[in-house]
Amino acid sequence: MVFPGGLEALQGIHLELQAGEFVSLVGPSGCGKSTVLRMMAGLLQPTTGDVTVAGLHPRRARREKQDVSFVFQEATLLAWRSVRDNVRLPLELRGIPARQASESVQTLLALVGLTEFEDAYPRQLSGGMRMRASIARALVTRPDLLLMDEPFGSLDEITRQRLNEDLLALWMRDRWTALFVTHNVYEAVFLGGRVLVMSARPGRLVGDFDVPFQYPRPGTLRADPDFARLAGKVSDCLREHA
Amino acid sequence: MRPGNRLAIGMERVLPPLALFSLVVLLWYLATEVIWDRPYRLIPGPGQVARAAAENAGRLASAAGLTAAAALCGFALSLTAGCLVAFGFSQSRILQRSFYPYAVFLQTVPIVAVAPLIVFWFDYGFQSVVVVSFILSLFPIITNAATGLTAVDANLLELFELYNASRWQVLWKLRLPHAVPYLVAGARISSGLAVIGAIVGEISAGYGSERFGLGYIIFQTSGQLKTEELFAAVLASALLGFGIFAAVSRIGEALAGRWQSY
Repeated sequence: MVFPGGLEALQGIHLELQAGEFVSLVGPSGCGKSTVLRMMAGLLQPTTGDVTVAGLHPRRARREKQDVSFVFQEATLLAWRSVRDNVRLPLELRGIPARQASESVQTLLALVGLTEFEDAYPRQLSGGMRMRASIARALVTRPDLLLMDEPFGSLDEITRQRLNEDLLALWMRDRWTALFVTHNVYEAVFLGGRVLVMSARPGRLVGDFDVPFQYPRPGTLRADPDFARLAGKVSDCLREHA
Repeated sequence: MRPGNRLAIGMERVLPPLALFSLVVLLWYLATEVIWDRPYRLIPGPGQVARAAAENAGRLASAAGLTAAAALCGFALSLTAGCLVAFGFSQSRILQRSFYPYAVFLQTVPIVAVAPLIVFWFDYGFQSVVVVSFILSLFPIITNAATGLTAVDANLLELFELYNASRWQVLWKLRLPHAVPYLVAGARISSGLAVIGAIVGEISAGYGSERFGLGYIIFQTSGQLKTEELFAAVLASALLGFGIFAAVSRIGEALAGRWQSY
């Protein structure tokens, strides 16, 4: 991937996700992790090579199956809409009337623990709750592929850990395919069945680690010596190519 | 919030400017009516201004009414035209590039210089005053509304693209609501300018002596060195501007309250 102006962001990336897999992608800041996500969402076109989702060009996949969702670094909510109406937005954009959408919206709000706050506006929520709303919005369309771009990067550690656990619970329930971008090695190992490591710019894939821990993964896994060892290996790989 | 509390908060907001006002009036009084107590004054004392205002209350009130009507018409025109222009700008880069310099021209041209043209085209009278008020108050609406329509968070645009939103949906569900607080801020500035525009318009393109606004009184009394009445008219203009600004701010707050970003 080369941007206009000649900035080479990515170089020879080859990556495949199996349906229902949870893959973490770690790399130093500015290595092109977000670019990978945006290409998979069809928001960016690769300069060379191609990207397919379920065998289709991402944009076609989006148009025909509408099965890709994206969670941004920021919650990216509409400030003038209540939490409920924010979560409903993707369905509304597809022309589904509010009444028909209501059941999916309520289910998702309950799953992310925001039922009590459905009438609140984004400014009335904490950062963690806003991110929950953002995740609910991404899942309300029952996507097959969920792309997440460092969604918990700006949250405090405790909130981040809780959201990691809750995210896995949501994933266990519906088993969408997940690509989770982060620069936090522990988060990557805790969430992913596989952890991919990217080098500094131009970004290349330099590591592919299988994470052997069974799902569901309890929070206590973070204190497991095997967990620490694997995280250490990923960190070493990351440092070597930074 | 308990009503008592609200009152206390209201007082906290009202008291400081009120205290400052009293202090200024007191100093003004001391300076003009005690220390410099001569028959001829460059500045009339507050007592004299109050007397002049009371004596001419009817004249000032009807003049203020006419000025207010012209200002509100100018403001309403600005809101309508400004939103339409901003909408055009947001839809087409070329349109924006071509017309923007002329919008700036409206903002920077000395209105007194074009006043003769306005009189030439629209004749003396209410309509010319409205035109001046419109020209002076248009720019903030255009710039603010255009900014509101275009300065949308890139991620939100991506989000809408991701869900295959139509151009119409992006406009209706994202750009227009995003522009509301910007438009409200623009309208506040514009409302004050509309009053200034009406008064300047009355001075430069105003009416005859049968129907007249505050601008005419200011023009006439300054010519005749009736400083007490002049001061009273200037104060009435300030009050009028403040009143319209406060009303527009109130309406804006009510409209855009839930728009506060996080």
